[in-house]
Amino acid sequence: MDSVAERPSGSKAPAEIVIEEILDEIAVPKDVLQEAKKRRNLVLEIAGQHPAGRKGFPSGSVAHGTENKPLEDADCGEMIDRRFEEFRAYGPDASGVGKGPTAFVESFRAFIESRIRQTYPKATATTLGQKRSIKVEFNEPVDFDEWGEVDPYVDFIVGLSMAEGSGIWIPNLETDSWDPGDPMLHTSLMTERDSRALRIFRARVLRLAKRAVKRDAAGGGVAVMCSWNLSAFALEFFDEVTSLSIGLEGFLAYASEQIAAHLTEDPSDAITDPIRLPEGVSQEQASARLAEMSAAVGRANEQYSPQAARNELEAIFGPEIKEINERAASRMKRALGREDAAGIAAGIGSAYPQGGSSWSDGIVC
Amino acid sequence: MGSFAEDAERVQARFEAQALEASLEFVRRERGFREYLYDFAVEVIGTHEIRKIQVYWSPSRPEDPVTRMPGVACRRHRNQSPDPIRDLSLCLWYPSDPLKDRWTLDGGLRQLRDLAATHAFCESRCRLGEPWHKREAPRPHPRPQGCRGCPENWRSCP
Repeated sequence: MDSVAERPSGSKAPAEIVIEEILDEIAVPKDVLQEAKKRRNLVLEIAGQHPAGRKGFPSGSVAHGTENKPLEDADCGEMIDRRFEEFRAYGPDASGVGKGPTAFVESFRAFIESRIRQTYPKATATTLGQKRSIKVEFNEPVDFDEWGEVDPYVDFIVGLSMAEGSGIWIPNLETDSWDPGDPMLHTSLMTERDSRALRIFRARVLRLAKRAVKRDAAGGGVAVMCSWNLSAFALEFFDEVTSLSIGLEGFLAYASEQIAAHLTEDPSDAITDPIRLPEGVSQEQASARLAEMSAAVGRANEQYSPQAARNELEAIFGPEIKEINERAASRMKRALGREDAAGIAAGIGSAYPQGGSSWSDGIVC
Repeated sequence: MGSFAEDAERVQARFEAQALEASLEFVRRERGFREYLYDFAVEVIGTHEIRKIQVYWSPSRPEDPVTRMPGVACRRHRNQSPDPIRDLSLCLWYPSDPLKDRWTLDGGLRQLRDLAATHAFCESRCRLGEPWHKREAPRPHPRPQGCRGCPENWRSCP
């Protein structure tokens, strides 16, 4: 029997199509992101008015371009000028017995709360339940038709510049002590080092990896790694732009190998301790889970159709895949109902407009 | 005027041309003298399903392809025939539709794939108890005998 197989060439890999769908699915809507940034910038502006304010900085996922939906908050901070008399006694490297951060943070909390209310009358700034930051809540939901109401808050950190180096001392309000941090360097590495193309690619893969890891926690389990640990791995791993699906598979495999071998060093010299894993997570557990995720992406990369790739990726992006499928079905129903030839063609992935009827009267058509 | 063999090759080229142009992945097997079976798969939109599609086609009867979808059959728009190849094959177009909406030899395998993908979607929604979403020929479409595609959910047919 003669058999001939015809395969497409030069088209985008099926897994890549699906990965891009997932990225779209988890993207923070532009309007929501703008609102969060607007609020963050207002907090920074107010903090900068404090007499001891030396330099404000955005930080975290919004600053790094690695934010995912739903966006709840934006992070930022203010580095304090320690020459200011009021703050000279604070910090572990202060002369004599350095004071803990509680009173220091409280003075900033009150400063920000009173001023932010001039713009957002119901706003509150609190440290209750916070380990490091002042949580500024605006209590003023904004309604975006398509996305519903959002009311993003701002996590704000006040930090002391270190006597030496680029880092800052950041508050640990649980122990009334200071921990080393380097959010400005972190943001700089994520947004300034390397070419623009590489930074964008790295941020996109990171968004996918973060979503996959956080999904475990959302499902009642535990996220095996914090977002910054993944970012630190990404800064080590990526030196070229590939397809997202290949990049994600390789990145998760790298993270798995590395965490099996050792805890991750922070790229800042100011931070001497490695990045800790979440409580209760061992290196072996983290490595195994990341390897599973890499394997799922690897299986998706071997598939010949987007649906088959979707089925493999569902292991780590289940809710996103479900959402994508439901939306595709709704679009198709709408297109069929309106006899929208172009819409039907788009639904089935055809370049040709689609029309016609189904019919059946019990005999051969 | 060419030989019969040359004519058959030309017809076959027409039948496959758009599929090749659209990079449709398919396998073609010879079933007998100038009888072909094409295998390919369609993704069922909004589901996890990937359905296998089989097209029986011959250049000696070029306007008469038979398209089958193995597996669970929603019989609402399937053909009934004593011919086992044609029985439960997919009803994909209505002969009275305007020409632009009908299957043509030039649309060929590519168009059959497109029609089958839409059909597979409609069957999947039918099994969920939804109406047949594609336009139906203007006549009643009662639930066919022996349809087990969606015994619990059928509500769109009388």
